Amino acid sequence: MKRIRVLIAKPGLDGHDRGAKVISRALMDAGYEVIYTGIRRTPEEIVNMAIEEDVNALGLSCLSGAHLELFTRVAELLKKKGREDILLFGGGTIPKEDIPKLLKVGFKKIFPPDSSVKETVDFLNEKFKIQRVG
Amino acid sequence: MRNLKFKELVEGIKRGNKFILGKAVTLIENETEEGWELLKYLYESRNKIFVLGITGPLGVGKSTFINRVIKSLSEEFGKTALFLCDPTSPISGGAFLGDRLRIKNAGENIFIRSMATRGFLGGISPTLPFILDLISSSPFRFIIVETAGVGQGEIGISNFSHLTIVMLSPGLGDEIQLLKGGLMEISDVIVITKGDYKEAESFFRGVKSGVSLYFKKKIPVHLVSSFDGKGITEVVKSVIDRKREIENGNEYEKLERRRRLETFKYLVRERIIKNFVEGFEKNRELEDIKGGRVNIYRRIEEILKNWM
Repeated sequence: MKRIRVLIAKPGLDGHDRGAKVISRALMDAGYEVIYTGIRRTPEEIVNMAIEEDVNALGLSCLSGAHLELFTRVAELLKKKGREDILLFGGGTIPKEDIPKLLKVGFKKIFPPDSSVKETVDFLNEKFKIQRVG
Repeated sequence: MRNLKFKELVEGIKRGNKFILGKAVTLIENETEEGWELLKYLYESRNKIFVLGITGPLGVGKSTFINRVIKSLSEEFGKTALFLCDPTSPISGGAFLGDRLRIKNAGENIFIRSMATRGFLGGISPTLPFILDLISSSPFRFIIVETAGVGQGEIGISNFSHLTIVMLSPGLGDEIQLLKGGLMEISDVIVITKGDYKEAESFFRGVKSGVSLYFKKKIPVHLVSSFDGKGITEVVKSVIDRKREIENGNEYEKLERRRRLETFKYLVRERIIKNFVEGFEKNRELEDIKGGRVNIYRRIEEILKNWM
C-alpha cells in the first residue's frame, strides 16, 4: 500500500523547531509518513535525505531570516540531482514580498507566520488527492 | 522525472547508486508489481550480508547510540545500510519518523532509510525482510536495523538479524526483569545507556550479575554514555568479536536458514494472504462474513480443498 512520504527539514543554523514539529505531527495525524531532519542541516544534507527517503514532498522551515538563500539552494540542488518532481513548500518568518521569489525558484507554496496548521495539511491533501486521481 | 527502466534499476542497485536504491526501496515497501519483479530477478545474484539488529524500549537511546558507533562499524565492515523503524499511528495510518535526526555526518558509505511499521506489531516493517534481500545485491552489505521502541514480547527483529544488541536504560525495573522470557533472550550484547546518570552504575552491576546467574550464555554487558562517549569503544569491540565468532563457526548458516524461512513466511502473508482477503473483499464475501452469514470454518475447508 502506497503512503505519501514528506520530509520536514530545517536548513541553516536556525534552532526554532517548534513549528516544524507541530506541522510534522499534524501531517502524521493526517496520514502522512513524515521524516523530520532535526535542526542545523545543510541544503546538501537535506537534498540527500530527500533522495534516500524517496519522498513525495519536502517542507522547509526557517525562522532565522536566511530563507531566501537556503531555500533557493535546496531548490537548485533538487533540480541538479533530478528530483524537481518532489513537491516543495516552506514556512517560517518569511515576509510577504519574498514569497514570489521563492515561488519562482520552484516552491509551490510558502506559509508565512500567520498561516494555520490546517492550511498546510489542506494544501498537501489537495495536491496528493489530485495526483492519485490522475 | 521519468520512470526508471527495469535495467536501470538493477544496474543502479548493483552499483549502490543511492538515488536508485531510494526508489527501489519504495517500490518494495509499497508492494508494487515492479518491486516483486525486482526481487524475483535479483534473488539469483544476491550476496552475503550481515545484519545487526538494535532493539530496546522507546526512549532508551537507540538512534543516539547508533550515531556514536556507525562510523567505526562502517570503517570496519564496509558500506553500511541503516534502516530506522518507527511506529505507524494506529489512528491515522501516518507516522512520525524521528530517528535519523540523531545521525550526523553519515557520509557516502552509509545509506539511511526511515521506515514506518505500517501496522505490523513486531517492531519492524513487514517488508523489511524483502528489503534485506534487495540490498544484498548492492555494495551495502553490512546492515543495521533499528527497531521501533519495543516491549518485552516484540522480538520480530531476531528472525532477521545475525547479531542483536538489546539496549536498556537505568531505572527500568530490577533484576527480576532479566528472568523473563522475550526481549532479554534474543540478545548477543546488552548495552545500558545513559551511563552518565547517577543510578547507571548500580543498575549496570545488577544486570551483569543477573546475566551471570540466570543466563545460559554469558553475554557481554556494557555501560555506555552516548553523551560523553564512555564505553562506546568497548561495545564496538564486542560487536566485531561476536560477528567474527558467528561467521567463523556454523552459527551464520543456522541464522541464515532461519532468516530464509521467516522471509518466506512474511512473503506468504504479504502476497498470498493479502491477495486472498482482497479477493474476498472484491466479491463482497467479507460483508457476509462480517454479517455472520458465512460458516467461516466450513468456508476455509472448502477453500483449502480447492487450493490443494
